[in-house]
Amino acid sequence: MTQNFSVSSAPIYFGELFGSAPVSRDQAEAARSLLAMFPDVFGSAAQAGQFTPTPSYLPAPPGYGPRSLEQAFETLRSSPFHHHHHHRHHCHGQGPNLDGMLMSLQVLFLGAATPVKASEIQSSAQTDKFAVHEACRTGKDNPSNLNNADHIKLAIYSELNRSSDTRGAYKALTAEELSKRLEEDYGIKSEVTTVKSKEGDELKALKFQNGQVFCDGAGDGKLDTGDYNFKGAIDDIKERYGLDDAGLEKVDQAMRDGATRQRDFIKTLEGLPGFQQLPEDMKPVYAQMLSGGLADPNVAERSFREAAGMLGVRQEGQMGGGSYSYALLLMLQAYQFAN
Amino acid sequence: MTKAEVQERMLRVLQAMKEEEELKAQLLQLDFGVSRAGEVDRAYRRQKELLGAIELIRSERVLPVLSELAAFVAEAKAKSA
Repeated sequence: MTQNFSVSSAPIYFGELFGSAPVSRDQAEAARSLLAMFPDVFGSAAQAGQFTPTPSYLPAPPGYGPRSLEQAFETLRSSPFHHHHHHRHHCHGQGPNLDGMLMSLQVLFLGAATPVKASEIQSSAQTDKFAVHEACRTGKDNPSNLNNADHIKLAIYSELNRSSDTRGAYKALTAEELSKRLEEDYGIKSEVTTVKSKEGDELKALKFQNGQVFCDGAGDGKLDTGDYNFKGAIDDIKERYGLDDAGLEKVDQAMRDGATRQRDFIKTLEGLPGFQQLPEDMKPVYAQMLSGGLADPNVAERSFREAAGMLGVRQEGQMGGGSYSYALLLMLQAYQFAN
Repeated sequence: MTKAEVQERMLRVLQAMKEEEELKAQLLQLDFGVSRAGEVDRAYRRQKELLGAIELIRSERVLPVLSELAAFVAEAKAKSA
């Protein structure tokens, strides 16, 4: 197996490590050689000498990284291209907006995201205007509140629409089943609980980790498309993000793909040398390094910069994903050689 | 070098990177779109301070450890060759 790393190359290697210049071909080759040492962890593509983009786009999973799906959507709300479409209410064209959104969903986890300003976020304490009854209990209080949870609205809407179970004209699932599917398909965790309406009715509901609630507005024990004004909510999402139906489907698919990658990511992470021995507060940093471009530093670096440009992030002094991956690979290798 | 020693160095690097991330988050919060010249100057001064602090973390805390690990890896490879 080729090993390109040596003491003599170290000064140049590290001299460029944190610089702003693109990663050189030699550096990429060194990283590839290191990757090839761990075919079980990084897959046969690394062993065969082919870079695979997969690990470099692995989103850091909730609990391990700073950019969860929720944060990704919050960031999208505050991004320049979102505002562009937000102020053009009748524009549903795809154009660069969809590409930008999908790309952002993929690369936000590299750490290039713009922090969300508090003023951009609608207070969860405000009434959710889409929390209305489409069927029964008309006129009664509906305690659902999915403000600032576009990803959850979209995920629930998609899951219910895929269900073969119905309640009258509405697609339905039990609260337990919906909770299970949301976690499996989207990585969105929720607990099945009950909430009290203003009239004192105990309604079955899903409570999400961010405090948002989706409840059984009809009071029949099932959660369905009639328990919330999904049409209005989804139209609102489409308008605010500038998406048509096909674009919405692509975003939904990107969210599901992200959940699959999260599971793979955790599996990979937990199998890495030394990971289990790290203190809990260090695991997110380690995970972030891994998600910052392990496979192909060139791709990761480029994506990082493009995303940063798109989101209006200032890049001065920032270290790209590729640099993280070199440091991480070096540490992994040292751990392997240690007694 | 033992695994425990490598791990101790990993923790130092990770801790430094964590601190760097916090500084970078502060960098991203800087507002250069303000209208008053004095505020712009303050933002630029703060940006310079933060970039300096990040550079210090990299040059004095991260790179020395990585160089040490690189030397260890190179030596281990030479022995096993």
